[in-house]
Amino acid sequence: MEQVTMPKLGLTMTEGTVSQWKASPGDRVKKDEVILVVATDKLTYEVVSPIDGAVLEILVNEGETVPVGTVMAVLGVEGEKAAPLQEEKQGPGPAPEEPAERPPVLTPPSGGAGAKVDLPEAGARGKESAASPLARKWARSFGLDPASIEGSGPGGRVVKENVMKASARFRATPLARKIAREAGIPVQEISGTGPMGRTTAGDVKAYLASPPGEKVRVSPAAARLAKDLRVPLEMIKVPGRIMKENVLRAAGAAKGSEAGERRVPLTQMRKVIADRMSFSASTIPSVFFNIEADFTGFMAFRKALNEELEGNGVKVSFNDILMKICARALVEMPMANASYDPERNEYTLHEDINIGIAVAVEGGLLVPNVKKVQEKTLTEIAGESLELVNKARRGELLLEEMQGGTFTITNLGMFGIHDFIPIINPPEACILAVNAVTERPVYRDGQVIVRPMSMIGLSADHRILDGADAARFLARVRELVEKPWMTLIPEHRTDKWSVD
Amino acid sequence: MREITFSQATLEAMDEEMTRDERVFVMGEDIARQGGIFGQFKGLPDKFGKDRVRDTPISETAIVGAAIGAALTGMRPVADMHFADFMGVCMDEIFNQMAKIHYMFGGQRPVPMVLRAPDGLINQAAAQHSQSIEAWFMHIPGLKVVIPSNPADAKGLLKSAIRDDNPVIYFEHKALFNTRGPVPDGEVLTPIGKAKVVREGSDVTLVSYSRCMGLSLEAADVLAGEGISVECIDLRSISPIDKETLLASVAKTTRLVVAHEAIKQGGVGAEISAIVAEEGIDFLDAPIVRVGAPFTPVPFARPLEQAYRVTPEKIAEAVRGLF
Repeated sequence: MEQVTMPKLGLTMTEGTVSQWKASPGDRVKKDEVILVVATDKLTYEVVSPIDGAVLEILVNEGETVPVGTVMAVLGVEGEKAAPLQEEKQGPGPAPEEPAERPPVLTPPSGGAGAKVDLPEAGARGKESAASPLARKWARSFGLDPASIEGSGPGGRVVKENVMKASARFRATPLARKIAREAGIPVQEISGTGPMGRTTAGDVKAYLASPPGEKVRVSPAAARLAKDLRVPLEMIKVPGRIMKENVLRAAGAAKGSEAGERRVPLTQMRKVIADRMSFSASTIPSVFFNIEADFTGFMAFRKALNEELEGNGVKVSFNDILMKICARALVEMPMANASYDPERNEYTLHEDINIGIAVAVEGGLLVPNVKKVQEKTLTEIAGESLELVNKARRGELLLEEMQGGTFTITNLGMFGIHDFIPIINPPEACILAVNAVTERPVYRDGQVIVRPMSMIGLSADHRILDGADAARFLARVRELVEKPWMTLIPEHRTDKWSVD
Repeated sequence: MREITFSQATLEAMDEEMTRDERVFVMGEDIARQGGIFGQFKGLPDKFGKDRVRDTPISETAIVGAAIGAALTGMRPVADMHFADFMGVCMDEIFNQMAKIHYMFGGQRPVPMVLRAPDGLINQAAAQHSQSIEAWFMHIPGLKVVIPSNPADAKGLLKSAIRDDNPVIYFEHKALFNTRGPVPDGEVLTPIGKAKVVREGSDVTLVSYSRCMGLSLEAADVLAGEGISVECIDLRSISPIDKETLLASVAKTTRLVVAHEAIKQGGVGAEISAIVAEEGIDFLDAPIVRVGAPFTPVPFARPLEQAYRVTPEKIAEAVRGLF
């Protein structure tokens, strides 16, 4: 028998939501066949079957959020009976408001393999009555909906203890409250790790230090309702857990009541973009430069490489060569590969060159980055960046693939843009703008000839790089664009342009 | 530094203060003939004579009443209560007379006197000879209440109490009399109303006093091994209480545990908790926890007495609950 557990899809992932089951109990599955889709706040991920066999048992309902490591399904030989699960508690720390152990919600239908079963929305209905009077009284005093609480009493009845556990989000220490108040954050929004699930000062500090884009906490009933009403949960902004009534309100708001107007709540992604761009524009004194480059050599270089690589399944793109060029220029000028730290009056020079590529996706923009570009060959860069772009479009990026960038390239050439001023992706020092390459007349050696020309733009953080530094960096990028083969040999000139 | 017992330390204090000031005298049951049931008055009658070391009848009312009268006429009496438990007998003398005369008569006469009150659990002394009743007296304006945890403070606080112009109740734990500790040579004066940080720490403030102080330090040792850094404060005086030291420590550690042998309900811990809740709630990153005796008379049976008392394990467990 094989257990399918909630995978850890990123360094910081602690729990995930089962967004869709592709298989039902009793279904036959092949190895590597997708059996369910898991979603986190940022990504969705398809979980495949580790074996050829059958689904014996499904233990987590669609819409449920469970800790990493939780067993979600049991697979085995067709007809085999699922043995009782012995390691129910193997997830690192059970979610505070949910009992770690619960009976399986589905068993294979006796009809045998292949029978399709509609997943019942277990436990969501009829809860209203299944709460003890005392539990109800306490739930009322905390403003909790007993239906949103998992019951552990006889027959899944919600008892006082369950309510007290669920009320953990109301517990916060005075110091935690004070820090949260000063930071302007409702303390209930921060999940607690202290005794009794209490939110402590440490939790608040960790929350404040964590990157934006916190996970969406949602009650099972609300998750079901949101699915029925097609309300994206990330649109709902409430302190703490999203409850049924929040979903109903959001559904009403989404319809839009005022004539000719529609209010669009920010998705989590838009919020992150908004916050980061506002932060960048309002705090970084950026300086912008443009330089015109002749892409004749660049185009020939790329063509020659791809002819060579023909049939190998790898193709070097325009951006890949630019990445290689930037990595070279950044090695020579570490200041352009730095990040500014106003708190400590210093900036960090990063040894690794992790170049982000801005990828437009539905509803926003993601910037995954290729790590350690300075150590990679062009074909490695090509393979990795293609994978990152595809993953970004499919929403499968891992958190660490979006973190740790030191430099960004943004290319709008495909739209025919020939000049734009990009906004720096903080805390990076620079962002390179790439434009459309167009055939243009240029004056060379006494005559006008036509050459593939393009502008290359650079926005730089003036707190780290002065105008001359940034200009020198951009000039070096142009030089390498015009003679990309120079990336293959070490810097050999004595009149070194770079500053230390 | 030389090490002497708690009992010897109090004896030195008496000796030094009686030598220093002729107005200082001591009276109580069995102190001259027997030297006090814990030997804390041994040798004093021989040195100072029976006029200044007086045996009294078994009447706490008479003892305290006479001491008040002596104090009003310019003497500086030290009255021994034998067992703190017996103070109930003379409560009117204590809280209606001793504590209020200076106030009610417009400050015409101070009442410079000390009541020595041996208290606490020892050897199955049972419900009427084992109590810790210090909290009663912090509710009475006009009194000072001190409660040493070690020989040095036993000496220093007794000397300060004798020199104080206000009535001072001096609680001395019976189980401490035979404990030894370093006491400096020469003059030792512990300021009244000033707590002491006896162990610095960063994670939790553990406030205690009297016998429980040593138990708290034991608990702190155990907890240090578990990675919890405990700051221990010896209160030393419970009236007036040293708010500054207390609040400064809680501001640093963000957590507070109060441990005392006395019954938890309505105890000194309740007052300390209230002070921190009123004046330092924003410092706290965990609920305040009190460790004290259950709300029941001290049992006689040994296993029950053992279950009743505060132990280092109970203190450590309370601290662990905050993390």
